[in-house]
Amino acid sequence: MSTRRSLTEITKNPEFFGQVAGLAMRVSGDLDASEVSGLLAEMNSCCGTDAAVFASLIKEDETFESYRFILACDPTWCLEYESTAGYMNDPWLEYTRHHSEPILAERIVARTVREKEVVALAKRFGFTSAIVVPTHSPQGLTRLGALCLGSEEPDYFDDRTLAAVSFAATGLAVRLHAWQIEKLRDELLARVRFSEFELSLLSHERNGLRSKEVAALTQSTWQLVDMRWQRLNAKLGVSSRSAAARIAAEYGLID
Amino acid sequence: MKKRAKPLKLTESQGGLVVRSEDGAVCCRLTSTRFGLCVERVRQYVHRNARLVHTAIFNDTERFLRWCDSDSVRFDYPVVSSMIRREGGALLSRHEHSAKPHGDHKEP
Repeated sequence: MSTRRSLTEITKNPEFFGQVAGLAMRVSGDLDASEVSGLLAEMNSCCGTDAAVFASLIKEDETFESYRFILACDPTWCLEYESTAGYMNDPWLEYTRHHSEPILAERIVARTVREKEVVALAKRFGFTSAIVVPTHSPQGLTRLGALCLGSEEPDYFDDRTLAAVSFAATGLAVRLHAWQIEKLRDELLARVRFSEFELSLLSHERNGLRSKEVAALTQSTWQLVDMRWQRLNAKLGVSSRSAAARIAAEYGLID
Repeated sequence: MKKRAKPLKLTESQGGLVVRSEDGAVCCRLTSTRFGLCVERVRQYVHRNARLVHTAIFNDTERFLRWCDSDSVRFDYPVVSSMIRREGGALLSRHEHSAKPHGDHKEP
């Protein structure tokens, strides 16, 4: 009869870090979402966990948010999470918005009834014991990600193994976050065709340049710059230049 | 008031099938992959100001059908739901068939 190995045993195996690093190194823009899901399933095998999710969030504008989940767990979890608007009351996601340190999920306090329900739902779907590994983007962008690994076994993750698992999983989380941004950029480029001039307008706006300054740099007139901006805003479906530049930055199109 | 079943679009894209409600609130891309059936489901909630996209792999029909039955799209967009169920089920059954060992090979 085979018994389940403890996480302490797994992390003490000298091959553990190499295996997880190998997974992280396989993440590249060539992968599609199904392959990333397969990779998360392999991460479950490496860590002896039952469930894994890579969640990412991007603010499309002041009020509209997009959430993306790549699952290597029972996908019914995501349907229930969605139908109960779990993303609006998710304490693990909230932790990710404000922290960069990996943490044992049990340390994240669920304050409201709704938050407790979200945690209870996660526990029902293989995250009885879990670790949350946040990833962030620089320069005040809203896009962020979190790798969450879960086990049905209570206390599978604990303080003794947190450092080792965090160290191993952070590399994978960072690579997945970069992968997600690349996919978002590809999505935007597939949706909207940008000319070189339009890309330069977005970059200049991000750097705070006004029409006259852009006109001087691009050897055109401010009227032409304004006209091109009107077209660009219409293409992106936004009402202002700052919103257009912010979307381009959030989607990794410009720095 | 009971919502009318919306018409839907079924298109082929990037090697997969895309089932989309006419109002764009629900979109599901079904792709056969070496891991099984890959489902990318997008749900847009205008009143909640949110879009949720989730991607999952199914390698057995029972699990896929259970997932379909748990989806609230079944009530909100019944035609879309039944299309996802039918097309996804067909792709998955082809995957299961091709993954089965051929001939009279038996496990020892």
